[in-house]
Amino acid sequence: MRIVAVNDAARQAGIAPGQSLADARASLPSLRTHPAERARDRAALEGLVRWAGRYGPLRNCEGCDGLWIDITGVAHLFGGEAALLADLHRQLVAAGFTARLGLADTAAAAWALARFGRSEMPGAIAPVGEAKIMLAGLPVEALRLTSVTVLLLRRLGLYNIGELYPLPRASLTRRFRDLRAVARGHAVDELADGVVLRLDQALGVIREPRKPFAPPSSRLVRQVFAEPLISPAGIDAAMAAAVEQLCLLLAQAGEGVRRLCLSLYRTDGSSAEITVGTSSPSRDGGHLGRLFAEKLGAVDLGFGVDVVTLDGVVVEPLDASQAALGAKPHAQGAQGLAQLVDRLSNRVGAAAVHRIAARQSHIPEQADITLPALGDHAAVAVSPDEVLAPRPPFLLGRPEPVEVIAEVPEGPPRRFRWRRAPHRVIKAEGPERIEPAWWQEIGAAPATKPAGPRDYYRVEDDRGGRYWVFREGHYGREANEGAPRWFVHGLFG
Amino acid sequence: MPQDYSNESPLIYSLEDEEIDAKGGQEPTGASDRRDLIEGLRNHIRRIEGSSEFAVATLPGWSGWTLGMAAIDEQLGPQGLEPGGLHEIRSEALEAGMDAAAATAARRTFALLLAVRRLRSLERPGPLLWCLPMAAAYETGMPYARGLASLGLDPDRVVIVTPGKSADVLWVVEEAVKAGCLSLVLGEVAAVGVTAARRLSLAAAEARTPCLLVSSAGKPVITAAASRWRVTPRPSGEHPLDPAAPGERGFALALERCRARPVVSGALDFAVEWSDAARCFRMAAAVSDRAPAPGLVVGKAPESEERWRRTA
Repeated sequence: MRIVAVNDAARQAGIAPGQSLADARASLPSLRTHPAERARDRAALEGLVRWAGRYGPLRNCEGCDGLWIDITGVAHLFGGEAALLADLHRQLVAAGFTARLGLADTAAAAWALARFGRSEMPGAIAPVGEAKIMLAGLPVEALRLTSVTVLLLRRLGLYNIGELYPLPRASLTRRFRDLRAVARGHAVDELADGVVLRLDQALGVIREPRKPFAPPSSRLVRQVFAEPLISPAGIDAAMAAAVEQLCLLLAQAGEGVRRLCLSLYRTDGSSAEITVGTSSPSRDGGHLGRLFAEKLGAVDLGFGVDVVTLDGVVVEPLDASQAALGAKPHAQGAQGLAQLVDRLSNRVGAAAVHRIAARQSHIPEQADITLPALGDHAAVAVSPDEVLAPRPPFLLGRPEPVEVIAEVPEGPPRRFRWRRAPHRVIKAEGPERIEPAWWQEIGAAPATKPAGPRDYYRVEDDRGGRYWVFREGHYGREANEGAPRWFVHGLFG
Repeated sequence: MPQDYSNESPLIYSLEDEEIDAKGGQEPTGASDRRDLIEGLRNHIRRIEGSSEFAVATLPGWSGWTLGMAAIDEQLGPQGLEPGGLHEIRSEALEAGMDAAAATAARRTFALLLAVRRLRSLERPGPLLWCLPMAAAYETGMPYARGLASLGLDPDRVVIVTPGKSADVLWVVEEAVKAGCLSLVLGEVAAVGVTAARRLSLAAAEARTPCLLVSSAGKPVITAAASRWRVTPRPSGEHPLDPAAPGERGFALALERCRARPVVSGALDFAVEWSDAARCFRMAAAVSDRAPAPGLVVGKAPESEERWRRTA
């Protein structure tokens, strides 16, 4: 049994962490000890991390005795970095904590300053760009190195971080490699990389990504099985039970789920995730179950699954609704459509299931808008009845150029060749002139030729094919203008 | 104690009585009487088969899902197109020079017009689903809201599904039919197989949702479809105001198969036009012997800028 942590009084009496309990008791018979409770320490630290959200949204625990907060863009709200640290320290002291604070450009430098900084309270601040100077005087332990590495550095006579700066990086690596015998049992490259890596992290040469604290989801259902499930039927049943349990939770909270993640943890330590989304909040167990069932078939169960978790990743409020008496097996009306859209979206992709509506624009390819399959779109859509000119039910993705023989230059085409097939025009209606939007001409770069006006014709060929063709530009209005071009833009069917 | 079946026998007898009545009544004299009699018998058979949809279909005042054109509608039987059935729309194998896109557009348009008729036949029309593979959308054009509206189809009612893989179309169509909340399901496939048609027929009958399959295969197979149409584009009719302009959409239809017509006497060919105003099909007049409307200046050279489009 060893001492894990001491307070100030004990430290002054000569007790230090790491000492064995018997030694400590022998040297100080009046020592009061408590068994360490790491779980409660951890919980308390997480509580502190949650509280620290007031200083910045990105924060998390650091080891078992620290926490970090990313205060990028936040300090001015507290009146500067020093004021922020002072406020943080005051609050921590008021809550009964002894705290050491450090603030620097990088998390690693702040770590070093908080633990080894030699400044008065509230904390050590490295001004922007001065971390290198501030760190120079700190011991090499401040680089978060293993004790073996620290020992090695000490033997080389390197006590302070500043002494590492002038050393060439290659030689820093090589020196460790030379001492292979000393670093018995350790991968030498790892040690060397460790020093260089930590130094780079502290000085901001290498970015050090950090995972911010995320509160655990309250919409999480977890099922643990004593024996791994190896049959698809068993997985289906486990999934159905988990979905049902989650729906119960959601019903109590008055919520519906928009995105669900089912995680299957295999016995060999690997895991598989299935995510499904719904187009409107739902807590219909049968429906959500069907969404998963379609994807579960493709999951490799490996040597069996012993833990299944179901997480409601995105939840939205959903009021209770009354089920109709004697509901038919087929879901009716709007609810049935929502469930159908979900099933289709999860198979073919949400973007592939949509509706279209007319939009206020006179340029044909911009007059259509794609909307999600569900929801009320009265705000964006205009009533298509306003349009009197003929419009084809099928519009090509982009106008396709055609070769045209026109009877008169400004008239409809006489013959045209589209997709290598000749068409003889029998009837034509038009033109309907559509001018490009004037603001596009203004905004266009001088080098690019602005789109000319279009003359649309509805033409019919000798076989009854009906096309929507247009001519872009005029015949020889200006010398620099080329011949007008013809395009097929749609089919009338 | 022996089982007593006396409760059930009156039902059996009553059915037989009815049948005897229908058969053994006085000899029908007029053609309408005869038709009524045959319809009555057909309904009777359907009632025995347990399909309630058709019993409703013949209630007085009920307007079925028809093409709105007597010549075709009387071939479809008394209830019009079967609401719980699969209907196939295909094309003749393309002749040389025929534009594939135009043929597809014609098939598709005919299917959409049938959908318009279907929605009009319903008291409370619901949404419909149109599934076309992405490749078809690129080839023949994407659905265009204003164009659909001009066909008489509210684009807000149409859920469009464009799967990247053509193989997903049949799956989507089957799911949609089974959902039972749609007024009609329309799918575009390369070819309709026997198994797929059977599955969709059963699903459509169970969910009472009609299913239209537009296929591009030139060679038909005998499937479980309730009806099969062959559609080819046909020159349009006369424009009421402008002889040089295309008029109402024309189609050459062939009703190749229809479940209500038990005797297969070859395909029935029709030349039809879609009337935009009445939202129904009508017989197309022969194009050649149509004289332009009197009082109209024919053959006037088009004055490009001034001659704006004219719609009746």
